[in-house]
Parts: sequence; C-alpha cells; structure tokens
Amino acid sequence: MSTNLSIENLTVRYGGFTALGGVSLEVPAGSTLGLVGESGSGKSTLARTVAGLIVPDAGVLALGGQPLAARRTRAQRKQIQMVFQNPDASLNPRHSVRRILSEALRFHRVTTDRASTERRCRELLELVRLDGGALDRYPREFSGGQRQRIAIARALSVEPELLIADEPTSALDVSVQRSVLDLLGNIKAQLNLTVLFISHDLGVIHAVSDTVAVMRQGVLVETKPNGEFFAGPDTAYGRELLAAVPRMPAAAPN
Amino acid sequence: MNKRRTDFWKKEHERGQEADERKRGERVGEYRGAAAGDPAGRQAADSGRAAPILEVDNLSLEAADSGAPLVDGVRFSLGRGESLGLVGESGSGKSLTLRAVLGLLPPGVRRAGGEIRQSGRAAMVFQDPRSALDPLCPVVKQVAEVVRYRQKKNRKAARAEALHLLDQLGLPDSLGQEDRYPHQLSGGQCQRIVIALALACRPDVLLCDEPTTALDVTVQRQIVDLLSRLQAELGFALVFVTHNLAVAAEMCSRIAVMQRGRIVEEGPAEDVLTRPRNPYTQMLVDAVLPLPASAGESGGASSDREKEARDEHQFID
Repeated sequence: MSTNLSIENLTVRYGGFTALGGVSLEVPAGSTLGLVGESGSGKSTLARTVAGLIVPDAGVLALGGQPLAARRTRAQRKQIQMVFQNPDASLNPRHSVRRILSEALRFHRVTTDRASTERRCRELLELVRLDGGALDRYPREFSGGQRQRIAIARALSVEPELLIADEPTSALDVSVQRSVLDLLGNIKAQLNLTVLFISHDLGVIHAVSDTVAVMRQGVLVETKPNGEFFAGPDTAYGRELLAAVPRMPAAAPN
Repeated sequence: MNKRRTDFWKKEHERGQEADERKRGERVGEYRGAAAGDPAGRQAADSGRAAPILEVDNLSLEAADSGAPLVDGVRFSLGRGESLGLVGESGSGKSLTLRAVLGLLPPGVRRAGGEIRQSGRAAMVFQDPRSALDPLCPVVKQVAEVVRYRQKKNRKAARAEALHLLDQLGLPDSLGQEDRYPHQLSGGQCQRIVIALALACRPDVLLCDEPTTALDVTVQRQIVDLLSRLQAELGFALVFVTHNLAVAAEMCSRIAVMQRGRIVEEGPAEDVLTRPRNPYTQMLVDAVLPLPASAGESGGASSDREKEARDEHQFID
C-alpha cells in the first residue's frame, strides 16, 4: 500500500512574508525524498502544509491522484502521518505509552475493542524494537532515541501511506541517530511507505533518500536523484551547501 | 547653562577615569609580567613547551544529593594558542567540565576532587546564541557593556571598541548607525555577537560549548572559519566542546573523547579519528554518515562565502 505525492505550485504566506513561493514536487510511490536547506528556507512549512497543519494560499496537493483539500476527511488525515524533531515536545509527558499509542488507534477506529488495541500496541512496539513492558511506562523513563521510536510507532499505528519525518534525528546523538535511521529504513521497506524526509544534515540525506530537493528562501532550487546530486549539484547554492559540510580526515590505509 | 555645566563635569570625570585606567592597565601589565616570570613558568618554557594557561588535573564532579559521579578524573592541559576538542555523546560530561573551569556549575553538582589551575582569563561561547543574549537590549549596547566592565573603559571608548570587535567578526557596519535587537538578527549573526561578548573579555582561554550545533551548515562553516582565524590572530587557547567529530577535526589540533565522565582517548586529532584505539571512539567514528569523497569539490568556497556575506547584509538592511 503506497501512493505517490504530487505538489503543484504550492504557496504559503505568513502575513506579508512568503514562506513558500510556488513549490512543485513529485514524490513517486515508495520512494524517499530528502529535503535540505537552511533554517527559514521553508522545509518545515512545506511538511506542515502537506500534513494539513497549514492551509496553503495557493496550489494543489494530491496523494495517490486524490486531491487534498483545505478541509481533509478523517481518512485523508490518517493517510499522512508525521514524526517531529523533538520527541519530548511531541509526546504528552502525563500519558503512558499505552495511552499515547492507543489514542491514535481509537480516534481513527483502526481497532475496535480493548483486546485488539492491546495487541496492536504490542505489535507496534515490536516494530520499533521496544519490549512490551514499555506500555505502562511514561516518556520520561526512556532515552531520547527510545522516545523517538515511540513517536515513530505512534505515526505508524494508523497505517499511513505517506510518512513525513521533520528532522527526526537532529536532537539525537550520532550513535542513536544511526539506529533510528536504520529502523526507519527497515520499516519503510517493510510497509512500502512514501517518505518525505527533512534534514539539514547532508550526511543523513545522503544515507536515506532516493531524490534530493534543495530549498532556499521558500523556493525549490534543485531536485536531483541522490547519486547525481552528491556527484555534482547543478546550482551554486547546492555546491555551496556541499562545500560547507565539515569533513573527517581521510582514514589511513591499513 | 545648567546642562553645559554637567556636560563639562562629565568630561572632566571621564578624563580622570581614563587616567586611572591607564594606571590600572600598567599595574595589570606588571602583574602579568610577574606571573609569567615565576619559576614554574620558566621551567616549562625551558622544556620546550609554553607554560600551560589552563590545567585541569584529575577533576571529579558528582551529584550533590546522590553522590553519583558525573565527571571522573578528567585531566588535560592547554598552552597558549593550542586547541583541544572535547567530543562525546550527551551526558558524557563535556559541558560540565567546561562549566567547572568557569566556576559555573549548575545547582545540584559539586566538585568532588581535583584541581583547576588557570593563569589568565577564560570566556565562554554558549550553544544557543539567542538564549545567551538579552532579548531586551540592543546588541552593540550589550557588547559595549562587557567591554566597559571588563576592559574598564568609558562609555564612548567602550562603544568604539565594541564596534571594532563587531567589524572584526564580519558583522555589517550598519550596526554602528542603528543598533539592533537580537531578534532582528539571524542565528549566525547572533552567534557572532556572542563570540564578540566572549572576546570583549580579552580571554586567554576561549571555552566553546557546542557553538555551531544550533546553526545551519553554511553558517557553521563561517563560524568555524571565523574562530580559526581569530585564534590565529589573537592567540588564545581554545577548548571546543562538540559532538560533531568532523567539526572537532577541523578546529582542533588535539581531541579528547569523553564517555560517561571519563576521557577514554586523547591525542592529535588526526590520529584519534583515523586510527582510534578505543572501541567507543571507533563506534563514534563509524556512526558518522559520510558524504561521497568527491562531493562538492568543484564548489568555489571563497566566492560562495562572499555571496553569503552579501545575503546577510540584505537580511539586516
């Protein structure tokens, strides 16, 4: 189950400020689009507009050929789920993991009775490699990486077709980042998701995405397949971004 | 009439202050000379290495309530113009070590043992520039205030010095005509202001606590280049805390890797990163997601940076 996302001439203004100026993008079904750009370039605005959290001033969004209107149906909301940058802010500290996961399940009527909700929660935890005992614990009892896994489990609980990951690993340590990225990669392949992956870390983008899109000041500067972008970007800004990444000293030949 | 008189007295007063300052400056100079001439310093100089400006010896910190060790037996020393990168994951005690040097331990943490010997001043650059600046005070005023108290200058001289510093850090001249509040500046500009605040203390040691973590790659590149340049010009010693190994490799000649409050490996940056001896260091190095070796090499870095500077001007004007 997977659907392509198409964005056409999307424009969002905040007062007099144009956050997105006519962005057009095509994300094929089952692929990952890596979105890069500096802060304020409109990456997150794009993600939030696609998720339906911001109503665009102009432009057309379509998921699997179905247009996404300003007011979305419950089924459309279910199709698109999001993982945010900071798991501390996106998980309610007063809710147990069971409640965090089952709330979404019940709202979207994925499960109907208590037993099936419980079963689904355990499945989800298994999917993100946490054990079932985690259900009765609270977000503060987990490490940052584990909390981000819980957020991922919640996003996947309602079987979305498009997953938006807005800097999901920026708040995590490098070693944890690796494991969360591996997990996301596995799940994506397993569930055949279409993914919109936002990051300002080009190393991460290189590792996860099929296509790279570069944004600057609300405009899409460049869209290129992963390998081609890292071999040589078309635009000066793309080259500048690549040149700015600090390099590790080359490993000594053993 | 009245106003003219007060102005006159103000000027007189300032003139007196300047004279005082000169005397004080001389005294400080004498004192420094004396410090440099002490036997220990001479011995170190004889052994071919400058006397350390900062020496952290067997530093241990613990939680005040439980006595749980937070930093355990950390030692390093730093001479003039040297740079040390402290790397490790969150909770490894990097920032606490820095704070202990400044004497700014957070409540609930106490020193359990060890010694910190310091000759000269230390100043710190914090991770989040916006929270390090006063949001209600224009930035030139903030820098001038530090210059005034740390370098004992009068208002006018302090302001001139502050503007000179900001100019050195590549901030636009328009700040001289019209002062701005932190929220009117970009993140990179705010971080430059914070660096200016630290440099206004005329530090011998600059402590940087993840100064580029909150910034974009392009801005990070500018700040890294800026700090390297300033260090070469002004010759301060640098302790650079980061979790980004690549940034540490570019900034620092030596790297110390911390894990759970201990330094597990220390050595020249290149050795540590290319031939790690400790499994934890190896794990950190392996966790870095690399770019393909050829990526972006065609980019003209200098012209791009000029372009970036132009863009920042546009932002502020």
